[in-house]
Amino acid sequence: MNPESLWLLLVFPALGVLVNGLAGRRFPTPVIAAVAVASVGLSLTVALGFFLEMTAAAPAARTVATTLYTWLADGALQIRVGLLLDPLAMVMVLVVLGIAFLIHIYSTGYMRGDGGYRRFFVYLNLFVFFMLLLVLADNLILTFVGWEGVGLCSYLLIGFWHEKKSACDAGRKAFIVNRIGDCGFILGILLIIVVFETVDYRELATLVGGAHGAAPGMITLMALLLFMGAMGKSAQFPLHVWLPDAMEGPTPVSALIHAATMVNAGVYLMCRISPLLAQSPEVLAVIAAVGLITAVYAALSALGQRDIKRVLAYSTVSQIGYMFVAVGSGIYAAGIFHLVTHGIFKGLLFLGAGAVIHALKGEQDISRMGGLFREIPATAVAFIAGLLALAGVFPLAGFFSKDAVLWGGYEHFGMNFWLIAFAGALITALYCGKLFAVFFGEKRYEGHLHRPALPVVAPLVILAAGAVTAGLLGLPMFTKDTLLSRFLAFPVALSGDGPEEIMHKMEIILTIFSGAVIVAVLAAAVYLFIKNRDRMAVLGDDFPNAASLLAGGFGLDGINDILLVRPVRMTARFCARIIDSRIIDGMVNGAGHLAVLAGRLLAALQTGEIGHYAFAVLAGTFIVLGTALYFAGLF
Amino acid sequence: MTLYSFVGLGLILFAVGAAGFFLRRNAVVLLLCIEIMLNAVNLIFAAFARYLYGTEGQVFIFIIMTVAAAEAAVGLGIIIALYGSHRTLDMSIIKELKG
Amino acid sequence: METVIFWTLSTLAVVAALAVVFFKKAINGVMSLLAFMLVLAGLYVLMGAPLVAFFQVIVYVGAVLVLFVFVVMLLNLKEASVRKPFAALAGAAIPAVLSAVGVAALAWLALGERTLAKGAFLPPAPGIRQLAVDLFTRHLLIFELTSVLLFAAAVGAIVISRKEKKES
Repeated sequence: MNPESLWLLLVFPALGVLVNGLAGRRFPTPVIAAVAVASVGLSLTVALGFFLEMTAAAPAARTVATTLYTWLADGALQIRVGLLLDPLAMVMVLVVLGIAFLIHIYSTGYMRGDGGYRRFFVYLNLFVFFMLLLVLADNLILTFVGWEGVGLCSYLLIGFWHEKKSACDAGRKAFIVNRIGDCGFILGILLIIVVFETVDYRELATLVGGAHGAAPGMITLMALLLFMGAMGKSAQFPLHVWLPDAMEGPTPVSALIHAATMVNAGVYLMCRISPLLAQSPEVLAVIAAVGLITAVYAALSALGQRDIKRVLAYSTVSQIGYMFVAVGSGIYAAGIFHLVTHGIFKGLLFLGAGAVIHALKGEQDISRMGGLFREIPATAVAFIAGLLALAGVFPLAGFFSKDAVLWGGYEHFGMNFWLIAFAGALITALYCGKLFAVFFGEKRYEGHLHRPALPVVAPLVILAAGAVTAGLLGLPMFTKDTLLSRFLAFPVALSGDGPEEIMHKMEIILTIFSGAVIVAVLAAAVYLFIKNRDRMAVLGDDFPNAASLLAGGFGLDGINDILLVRPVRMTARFCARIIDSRIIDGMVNGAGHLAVLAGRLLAALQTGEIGHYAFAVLAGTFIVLGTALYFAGLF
Repeated sequence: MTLYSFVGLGLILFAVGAAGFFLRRNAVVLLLCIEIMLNAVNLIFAAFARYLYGTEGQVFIFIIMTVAAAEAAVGLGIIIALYGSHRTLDMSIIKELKG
Repeated sequence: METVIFWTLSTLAVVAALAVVFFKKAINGVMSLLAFMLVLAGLYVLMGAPLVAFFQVIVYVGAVLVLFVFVVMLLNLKEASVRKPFAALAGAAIPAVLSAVGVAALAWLALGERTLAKGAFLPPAPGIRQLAVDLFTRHLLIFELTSVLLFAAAVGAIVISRKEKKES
């Protein structure tokens, strides 16, 4: 295919935005939906075309690139507007477009009747556009444009129901926390520009790999700063606080943006700058550490949530933590693998949750759900498939990808690391078990169920199929040479210690062990939560303090409030009340007062006494004459 | 009877007129003092006209005289109007120009 | 001879001016001004500017002073206008003295060393004929402008007095 056709991937969603945005007010609902879905569908078709071509081509020749024009040029530094489609980008594009397509279809059913129907699809298409731009960009600056764009769309979509104050607050929170990460991102880009005089990924790879004058500390700094950006966008501890609140947005938004695509951008970015990371083992260790901490922390918090969407939100944070663990272990392919599988089953779970919420007419508290299996079997089956995948039960997709991640952690950081990560996986199984209770056990809702329509159920089924089969990408197992990694053709970064044989055996042991324990824990959890429905909020009545701690995400919001929000508010108040009102206004008003005062002083000269005026005339005359005579040289 | 004498005389007269302007309060007398000053200036012009051969000095005297006449006419008209509204000609009382 | 006349006339002029300033009654002041102007006319003649003297008498004495007399009579200022000068005597004297000193100093400095011939009398002044010719040729512009000025003054005077009549 023509490399120029790469632009079509962006053009179609853009057209969707323009058509629906400008002319959509006059369209009936089906037309709006059709335009939106079609734009993504067309993009997907083009992407599939590229994919087929790519698989047919030799591994070395799998990259397609095109440049539109040079945006900024300054000597050696050339910032171009161009697209790069290599296997990594291909995988991301397929994930984004595939899931986006399904979610668009889902939304046509889910958002029916909403007043902002047209606006929703405009934003959704806009998001797809920016996400693709982010993925396909061939340089850091263009990626950043897409980065900011998806941030914007996230804000718009989180606050979609903008009459609700909580939604607006959540949108703002997301944007601001993201911004904190972006600070690091921008600084990192600037540092790279200063040191390497390029932002192009390919040029960067060449420069960093070869001899360059940059100190190792400099590269570490660059990588750290860029990772900070990734932390913000991918909601890693401590910049994760926006994601649970982002659940204020409609569920398709949560599914698309906050599970399957945007939050993966951080992981993707790290993969893109892997040459940089390869030069700095310290940063890799930091990334893995942050990922691990996030994974466990978020899993615990997920356990304590009552809102079904918040459980899934924290779960997402946790799973992305695992992806970063993989990146930090140097096995990028495992991270991408988990990204793909997670996108599928988390998207599935969110859509399923949406269907459940819709059926219960807006109820989101799990303690008020139960026994839904009989009523909405298709949804239930799909949802359960997602849960099994998330927990990591063989042979669903999550098993393979999680295992690859854990193994990478062991290889690189040892047994202790593996144990902690495994503990996180167990907690994951726990909260998955908890969610089982939504569908089984006694009925806890009242009234009639609103059955989900076909556009809602169909994507669920498709995604469920994906959740089951995606594990195939990870075959053959127990090797670094899986289908996916072959396709991605990453340089195999760093391998662990010990001869091949022993490592191999270790891997098998760990895999079987973890797989078995997880199944056991899951079964126990299911039993526990179905039988003891009152324990929904994790041992809530027995340990209320622990429960509230977990539910509140270990009080992180409170800490942020004290550390950041209050000082900023106080500073703002100070500026407004004292600096602005008193000092600046005082100066301005003072100038006015000064003018008036000067006027009054001058007015005092006007006494009304003729004698005084005459004297002034006389004196003035003498002065003028005197000066004239002086300068005429007569003095 | 040199130039200095005439100029000196003119200066003395001007000074008298100026002093009188500051010393008196009656509006009419103020105008009289102005006339004194104008005449003193005329005298000085005439003196210089005499000592610098040419007619400019005397022409300017005519001009001054004309202007003085016009100004006296208007000034007296104003005085009459002032008296009409204020019933007094004491300039320390009439302070319309104050502020 | 001329010196004697000069000193006499000068003294008379100064006395008359002082009289104008210090008389209490306005009419007395006007009469003193009359004397002053007549003396000045004499001085002009002494300086060889007879035309100027002529005009002095006709215009100043004959018109302006008469106007003053009319006004003083009209306003019937019987009582002594003012007993005390402006503020306290000292307060008013200062500007007075200052102005006198200022004028004198300025003149003295201006006259300095560089001006014209110090003492000598020059040949007789240009005659009336010459003056008349210059007035209507070289200095025509200013001449015409003064007529405009007079016109404006006349209109102004009428307007002022007209208004006053309407009110009363």
